[in-house]
Amino acid sequence: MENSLNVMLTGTPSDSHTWNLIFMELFLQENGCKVFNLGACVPIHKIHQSIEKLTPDLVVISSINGHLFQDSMEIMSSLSKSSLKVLPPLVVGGKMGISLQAAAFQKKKLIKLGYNEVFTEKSALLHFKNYLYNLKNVNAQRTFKRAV
Amino acid sequence: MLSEFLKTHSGLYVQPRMGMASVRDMRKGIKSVRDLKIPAIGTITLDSYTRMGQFEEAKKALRAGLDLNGFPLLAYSCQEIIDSLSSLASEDFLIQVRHGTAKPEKIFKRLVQCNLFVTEGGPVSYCLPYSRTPLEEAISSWKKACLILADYPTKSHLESFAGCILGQLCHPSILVALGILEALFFQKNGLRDISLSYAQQYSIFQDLAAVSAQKRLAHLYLSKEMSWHIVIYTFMGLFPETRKGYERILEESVNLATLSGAKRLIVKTYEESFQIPSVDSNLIALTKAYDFYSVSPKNANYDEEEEELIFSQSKTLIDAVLNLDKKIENGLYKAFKAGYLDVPFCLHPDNQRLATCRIDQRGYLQWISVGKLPIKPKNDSFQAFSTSPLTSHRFLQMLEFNRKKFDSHRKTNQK
Repeated sequence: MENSLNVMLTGTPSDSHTWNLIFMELFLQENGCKVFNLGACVPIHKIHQSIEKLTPDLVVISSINGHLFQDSMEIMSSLSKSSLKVLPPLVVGGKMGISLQAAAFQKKKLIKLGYNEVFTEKSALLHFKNYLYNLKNVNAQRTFKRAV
Repeated sequence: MLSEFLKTHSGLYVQPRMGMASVRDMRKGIKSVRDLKIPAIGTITLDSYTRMGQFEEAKKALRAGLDLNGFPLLAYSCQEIIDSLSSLASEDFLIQVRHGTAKPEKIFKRLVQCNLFVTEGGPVSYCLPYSRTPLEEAISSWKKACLILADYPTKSHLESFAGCILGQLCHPSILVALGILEALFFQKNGLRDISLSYAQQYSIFQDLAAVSAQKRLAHLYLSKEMSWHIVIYTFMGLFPETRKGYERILEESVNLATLSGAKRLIVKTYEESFQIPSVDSNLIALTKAYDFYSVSPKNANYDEEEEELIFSQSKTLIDAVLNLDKKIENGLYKAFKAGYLDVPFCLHPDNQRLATCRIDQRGYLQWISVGKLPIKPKNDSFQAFSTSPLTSHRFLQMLEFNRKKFDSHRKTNQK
């Protein structure tokens, strides 16, 4: 695929669920992405290493065990302390495991911390699909400009 | 000892999943199962800190008065456990410890110190789905753990969890082959009393064919010294949402256990799809399962063709592993490396993930691709593949297959 995105997909350190990761892998592939699936219970240092090694266009963190907020906070604060100079866009999605109001608050907090998007509401998949479409276009334009 | 025990007791034994943080609650729970007056096995399920080897974390949580999702075996003294829990076991009532640990040596050591000798797991089945532990490390730890149990030949029992690997969507030929291979691993490492598990999938006809093939293969491969039985698990994937749907799926798992000649059934509670089950909901599930057992059919139509297919595919897989290396522990490791064993949808780094399967219209699991598995799928499943690749939408439908099937009355009610 010409302008496919290289996506690194990962679970959180505390979540052993994998069916969400399989689903997301298929979904990303259908939307023109090449996927590297790190799997479940991924320690934070492994997430670092993989970003360094794979230099993905996008990192997708997916979790459904209810600790998504806490885990995502820890991942980002440790990434921002790391030696990585440029971070790829990072998004999180799945279940926050709390009330809608609290979810809205947490979403704001995660974005402030450095995440590009948070997908947890009911229509999250559709929003995520649009997000991917836009990101692909931006990347394609960038490549085009470089070529010119 | 559990298999020997079940040989002398006729009928089906039912068993819950059950684990509490405090010894007192754990004792109460086991006692209430024992006092049900139906053929039941008691269960102690360990908490996730203990499973992960974080024994200090479990202690800390306990001291802070936090609740745990199971019993912290290493947070109490052996004497306390022996006095309150192990002593509940008798000639008529056995207790199994369930743990989910990839590297279980420390836990097994503790078990025998606490007079608890009946447990479960396996080098592959407790490594691939629940951990990132390299398979080689898990195999070597399980070897040592088996030897700990083997020192107590008349008391110990080890169940292979392989027939439940990932809980759902795994082709029966893999479930059956892995079960026999783990049983051979147990045998090689000194165990003499074991069980083979099988988790209810999406069609009772395919499940019956699979368990029947599994029993034939157990007779073929296991030494005559081995005492073994089959344990069935009520479906472990996405559960029906209605109470009626729950009862129907539970009933079908009881029928599967009865018709396949299994001696034990691990039940699920209605609450389990929402939360950790209470003691009461476990007691209800056990009683209900036993009621279903008393009226379960004694005859069913068998799909002999399917049984032959699963038998021959599983046998080919087992032989391929045994031919890779004289030592089964090396064979298992090499087989995953070569893709001769491959668990569909399993994301463990040591799993090749080239083999995939789907559910057909009958509810049978069929290969989409066998990857490097040394088997040939049926012709029709290849044809099906060319027209129906796995999409995220199809995958969701597969996850929801049993929920839709057993909650189907909801739709008809609305019409």
